[in-house]
Amino acid sequence: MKKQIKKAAALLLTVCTIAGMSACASGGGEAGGTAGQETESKTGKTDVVTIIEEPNVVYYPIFIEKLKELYPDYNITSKTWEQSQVEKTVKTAFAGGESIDVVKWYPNQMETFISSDMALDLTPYMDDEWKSVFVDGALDIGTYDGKLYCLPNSTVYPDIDINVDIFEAAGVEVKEHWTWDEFVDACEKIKANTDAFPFGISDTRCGWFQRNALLQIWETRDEMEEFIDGKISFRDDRVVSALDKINELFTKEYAYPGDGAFSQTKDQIEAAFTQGKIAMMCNVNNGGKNARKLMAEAGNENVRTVSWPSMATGECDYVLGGCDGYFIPANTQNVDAAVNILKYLTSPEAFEYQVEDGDVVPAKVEGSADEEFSRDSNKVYPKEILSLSAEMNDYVNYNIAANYFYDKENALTELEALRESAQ
Amino acid sequence: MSTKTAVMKKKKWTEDRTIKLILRLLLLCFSVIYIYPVIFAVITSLKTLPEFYTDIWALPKNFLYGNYIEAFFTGKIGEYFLNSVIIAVCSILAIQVISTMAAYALTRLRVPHTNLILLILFALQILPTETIIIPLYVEMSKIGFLRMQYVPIIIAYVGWSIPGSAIILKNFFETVPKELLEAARIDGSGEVKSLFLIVLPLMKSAVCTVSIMNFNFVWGELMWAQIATLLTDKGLPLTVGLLNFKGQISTNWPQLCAAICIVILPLYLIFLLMQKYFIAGLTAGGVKG
Amino acid sequence: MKKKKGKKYGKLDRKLMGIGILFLLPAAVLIGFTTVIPIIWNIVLSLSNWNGNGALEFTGLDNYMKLFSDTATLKTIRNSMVVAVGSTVVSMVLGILLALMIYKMGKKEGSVFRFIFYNPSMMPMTVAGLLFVFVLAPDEGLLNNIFGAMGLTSLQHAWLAEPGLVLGTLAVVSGFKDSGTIMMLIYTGVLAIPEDLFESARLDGTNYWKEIRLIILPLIKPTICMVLSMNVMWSFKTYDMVWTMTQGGPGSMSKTAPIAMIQQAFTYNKFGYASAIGLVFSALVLVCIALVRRALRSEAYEY
Repeated sequence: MKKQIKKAAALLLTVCTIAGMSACASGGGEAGGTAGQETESKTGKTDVVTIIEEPNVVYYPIFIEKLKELYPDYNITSKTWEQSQVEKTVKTAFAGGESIDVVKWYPNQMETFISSDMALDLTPYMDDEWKSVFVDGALDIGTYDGKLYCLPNSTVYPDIDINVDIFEAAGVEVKEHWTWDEFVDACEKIKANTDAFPFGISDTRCGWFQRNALLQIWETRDEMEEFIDGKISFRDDRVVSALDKINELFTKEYAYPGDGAFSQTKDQIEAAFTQGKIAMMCNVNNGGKNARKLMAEAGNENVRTVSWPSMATGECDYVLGGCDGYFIPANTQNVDAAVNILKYLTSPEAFEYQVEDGDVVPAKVEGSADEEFSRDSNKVYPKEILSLSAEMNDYVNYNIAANYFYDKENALTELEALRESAQ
Repeated sequence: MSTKTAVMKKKKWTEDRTIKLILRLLLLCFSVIYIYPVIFAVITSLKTLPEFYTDIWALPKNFLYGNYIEAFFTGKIGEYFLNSVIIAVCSILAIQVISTMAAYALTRLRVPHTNLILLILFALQILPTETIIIPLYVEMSKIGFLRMQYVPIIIAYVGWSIPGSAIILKNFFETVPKELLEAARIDGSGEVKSLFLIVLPLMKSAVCTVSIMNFNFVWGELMWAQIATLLTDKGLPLTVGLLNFKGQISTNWPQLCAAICIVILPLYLIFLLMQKYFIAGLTAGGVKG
Repeated sequence: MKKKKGKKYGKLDRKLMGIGILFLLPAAVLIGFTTVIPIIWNIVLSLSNWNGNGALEFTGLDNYMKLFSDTATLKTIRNSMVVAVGSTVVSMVLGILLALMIYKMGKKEGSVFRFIFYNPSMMPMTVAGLLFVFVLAPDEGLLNNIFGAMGLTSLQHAWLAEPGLVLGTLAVVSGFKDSGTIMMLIYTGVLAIPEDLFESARLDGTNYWKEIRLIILPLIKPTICMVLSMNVMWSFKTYDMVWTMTQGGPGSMSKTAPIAMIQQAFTYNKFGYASAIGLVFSALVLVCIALVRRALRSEAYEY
């Protein structure tokens, strides 16, 4: 008798849970469609949650303050932004039916949210006045299938900060634009003539070499687009030879600190650069001002910024662009508030604060940053092979450098598998 | 005392002393390795950021308390600290009471299928937290716990820690001889009384061990605390607050180390306090067979 | 004595049983809420496809079939195993060793040492991870610098970045961190051995090594067994530490199963698959624990 009761109870529990879950799951889908009901907190204010504030970045707290002044009816909760947590945060909130209103994320890596319909389509809210703040073509980067999901707030592309003293000691000329061969040559000379390592790159950026190469090695733009759509195999000679060239940089130990070059954190690379252990620091254009500041504090003012070495032989002299941006999760319960906040964050006033801090912004704003830090802005190409799928994004961004270096065949197989499964 | 025993005792004594000396040396070597990370954190927290970058392993030039003050106020560590304390105290008390009751029931009170229950309890702990967080979040959301401060965090911590604590307590309970309890029962004391007045004092060491382990878990848990406080900025414990110091652009290591030291300090204090009771409990109470 | 059929328990027994079940109730409710229901959810999820938003579609054992042919995921499970085994071995050896050394020390000294050895265990995993990243850094790290100072440059490595080393290093760091807890638990076990056994042994003329071999080790065997089972379980929970130290890198070399699970769920929107990985992983851990217990086959000595 007892056993039967136990069994019945267990069965009942399971049935209830499954029923509950299916209800939740379908309920979640519905909630996404009924965005637009305002949540009123007890104080009569609208509760708004934003995830944009990065620690140690000067302008975000200013934005939050201004937003609070501008919209006293909003009860703004500003959560700290941390790259590895954002996806978890947004998706868990989605599952639980909780509303997040504005999130910072990269416009060209929105696959992870779009493939599960978690980003709000902004096209109906973008009026011409708002659009005119941005430079032409800036909004393309956050547009997928004709729908605008994510607004860019900075133009970010890779470049190289150079410790000119070391270059001079090695007898290498500093050129603003250079080819791959010139770059390798410089590395060779620096390694031979000085104690310093030719370059240093931080772990999350190692994939830049490959990403840039995969944009540049094609003869025509059409070919490049074909590759981006996943129609050309990774085993194509051009791809393999480019990847091999990149590998050579690491086999010849041009990268700081030799062994372990793939696992250096940003802080470690910066420290090594300020200590004069690296000749070239792979950086983003927005980080240039900060790098100069650190070097100046260490007593070295002889720093210049040059472009990323180009492998281009045809018409594809592009660089990858990875801007920051903002999007609105689809299950927000305060669309109007979210849109208003977004409007402020991408207003000329906000952009001006960013420019002051050294950012390059995709907007028509007075006093845009130094030429040195925005030289290649128009070489940025908005789409890459990464946009094929979330898995491809992750692999090419974070894993390709080390995986290809340590096990070439396996990496190619994995890349091919990812490419094919995304067709 | 015969001469033979006396000689043997003397020999034992010198042998004992040499062994103790060797052990002491070995232990000192190990100690250096074990204590180093903390010393590193303390030293770093007394430096400024540029100073840190010039030489990571050097001693600080000046003993700057600035980092601590900044961490406490600007970094809101004081607030997070309070939250962590509240969460820890409530969780540990709840875990202790409920686990003790459960362990006692399983050992003494003729609950059927004891071994099966224990096995299942144990197996349940194996499932990785990562897969539990979403369903738990949804549950709490539906019930509305998420609107309350601290509650979702405490409930999860208590629920997860009960099996482990119950097992440890049960193991120790089994060393309390049945006769003592039978005698108490015959005397007419209720079960609850017998539990709390007789058995618990004997279990001081186990209670301390369990409390220390639970405190460590609760104080250092990150994943669920983060998820449960996803949409608020109130009630955040230290582990979540610590993340604020680690930015994508740059990390202020000295401040982070100051924050780390603030996180570790209470753990040290609790352990030092508990150790006293630990030893006292053993010398005072004790079941003579 | 005849037992009355149908009356299995006496009145007192039933009362005790009632109280027993009452005592178990709060524990049961909480465990049900925080563990059992999520597990059932996971089982259902692993048999379906869910992208985090939208309807659940049942797909049966598809996720499991996919799992067994997905080399990348299988590799992460293998990585987890390596780290877990290494970590368990390191922490058990260190923990038992330290406990055996400490119990000989006097009360005051012993407590100082216990405090020092327990302190890595006290630190949250993220904190420990961060501190150890510094120790193990290839260029400015303490370990390599010490080797350099001693002239052993051949031993300098990129501990967290070389393919053969990274998993081992993670295992050692994890084991080191847990060894404090192991030491405390074993020490409690040693303390439970009554003094008289030691007295009588000493009178019989045993020395330290014999003491350990013949008295302590056999008597703490059940403690060791219990501690080992719990340790095996903890050592699989590697997410925090691995993420802080290597983020699964370089590439995907140190990606352990928990990291793969989070990635599948939150980056690729494959919640069902992630749950399937979780369940298979848990089953594996259970098997490991069962094997360990079988190997040790604890017996409790009466004393």
